[in-house]
Amino acid sequence: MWKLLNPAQEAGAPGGTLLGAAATAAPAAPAPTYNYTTPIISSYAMTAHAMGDIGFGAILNVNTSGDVYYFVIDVAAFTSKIDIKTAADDKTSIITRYGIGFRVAVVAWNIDVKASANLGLVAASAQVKGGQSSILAHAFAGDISALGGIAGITKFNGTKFDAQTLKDLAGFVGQLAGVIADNGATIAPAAMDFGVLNPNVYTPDKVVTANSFAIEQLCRSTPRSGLDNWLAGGGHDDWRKAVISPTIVAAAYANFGVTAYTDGGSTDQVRQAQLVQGLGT
Amino acid sequence: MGTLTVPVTPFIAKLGGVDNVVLSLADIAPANMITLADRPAADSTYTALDLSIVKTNFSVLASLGFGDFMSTKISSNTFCSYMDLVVSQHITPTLAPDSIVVGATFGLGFRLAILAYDIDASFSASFADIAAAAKLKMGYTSYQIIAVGGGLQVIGAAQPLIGNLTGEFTVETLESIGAVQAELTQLYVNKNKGLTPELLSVDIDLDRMAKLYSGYGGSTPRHYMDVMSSQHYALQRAWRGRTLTESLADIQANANWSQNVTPDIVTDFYTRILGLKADQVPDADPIRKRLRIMLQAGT
Repeated sequence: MWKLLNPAQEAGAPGGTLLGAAATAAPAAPAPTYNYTTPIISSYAMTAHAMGDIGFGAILNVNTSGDVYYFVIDVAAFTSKIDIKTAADDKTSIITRYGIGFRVAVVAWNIDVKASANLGLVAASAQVKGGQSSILAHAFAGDISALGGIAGITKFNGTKFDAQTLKDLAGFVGQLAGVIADNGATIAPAAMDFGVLNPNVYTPDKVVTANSFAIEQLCRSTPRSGLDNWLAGGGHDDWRKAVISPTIVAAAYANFGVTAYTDGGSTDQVRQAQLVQGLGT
Repeated sequence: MGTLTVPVTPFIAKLGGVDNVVLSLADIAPANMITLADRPAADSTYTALDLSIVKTNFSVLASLGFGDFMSTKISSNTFCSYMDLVVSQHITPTLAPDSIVVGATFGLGFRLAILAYDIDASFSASFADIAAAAKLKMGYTSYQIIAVGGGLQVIGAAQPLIGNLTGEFTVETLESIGAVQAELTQLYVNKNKGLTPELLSVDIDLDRMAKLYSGYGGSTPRHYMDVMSSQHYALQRAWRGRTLTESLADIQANANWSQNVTPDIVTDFYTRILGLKADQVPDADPIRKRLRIMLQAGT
């Protein structure tokens, strides 16, 4: 899951612009085009915690004792350019991508919690039960003004959410996707955190550990799909911090002739693993 | 032993001063050994087409990258399905001297997942039934598209569905999904010329991995099975408090051992990986802890 960069914290980065705030558009260069290779289209319901993680922290100031429901729609496209940067706080390596697009989020509270599957039900519930809701929208690109008609999204900020709003929003989201599809190539991308690089980097110890895991598990006729299950077992804390590489485990299984993810090995293959296990004992 | 094909994320970037590193492989080798500089030639043709429509369960759907949607609302009566369409081409990259990446597959495609729940079990037969049930009985549905490659044209093709993302899953939604599927299939199969394909999987060479893992820089070939067997032997002997000199002598004590253990690899394990001298007993606490983690994984 990607996360919008906060321009205020990312001095110098071509950050996103929060709609409704003053959009400071950079002067347009003479019509370059950008090659966006990776599209993303998704909608999902999510928890309060995840919501803060993806750049909608402000929306969490909803004071409620009941269930809070979030619904997010992402439409974006990214270039193939990828940078790795190091986080100042915990030194993790963050994958940064460059793209354009928009994210619309609806938050609703004091509604029937069963109505959490789609916005149509949320709108109905809010109308019927007097529940409350709010909409936030966020678009990102170097020059927001180039997205013709995007300013219309501001009218949804903080509105009461009902069936009519839903209808307007659905139409608007569709239109906005059309604008991006048609004009996106002329709009400069903005940087965003796309994910955290796997902290499990190569060491010789980890190779030997992963090979031992494969030998022991194949001795027990367990397929390599059992890795997560084994890690979850009691007394295995030392191996949980991303010590065992699934790729090396797959390589070790392949050397015994076991290639399928859910294959626990033939009698001969298990016997071969037992022979290796017994070396030096 | 041959090669192993590993599905990877499409991320290729500069890492630790090395260009063109396949980031997904950072856990199996140092950055300079997992590089892939080559890309498919412009306007090259796709040689493989894979299409699958799979009815499945929720945990499989989550493992395919759909983890965020609806994770908290799963009831027993859940209907999951996904559709994959991928066109791909295989390339054989120019081999960097140390790289273990000997092949790569690039492609374009999309994956569409549909999840429906709290719907009368008797309806759970087809998408059309699901759509009807959702309308009639207020069941809940969600759907999501993950696309690989194709950029803005995919957003254009999927536009009818995007406006629908807010709404209920109805017969109309089903129709727009069908139309979008047809558009995307058309785009990926017949109009793929201008689209930039993305990395889908790489082939890694097991003997080149073996050479790295046994610390051997010379020209002697290494086989993964020999490295795995010999290191496991050395690990067991070290765990029993034997020095390098003793372990090398012990190889002759058992026919199985002498047939399957390569002395050079045992020496490399003691000196390079453990950092021990020939007659140093591996009994210090830090060494014992490392040996335990290496030996008891999977037990």
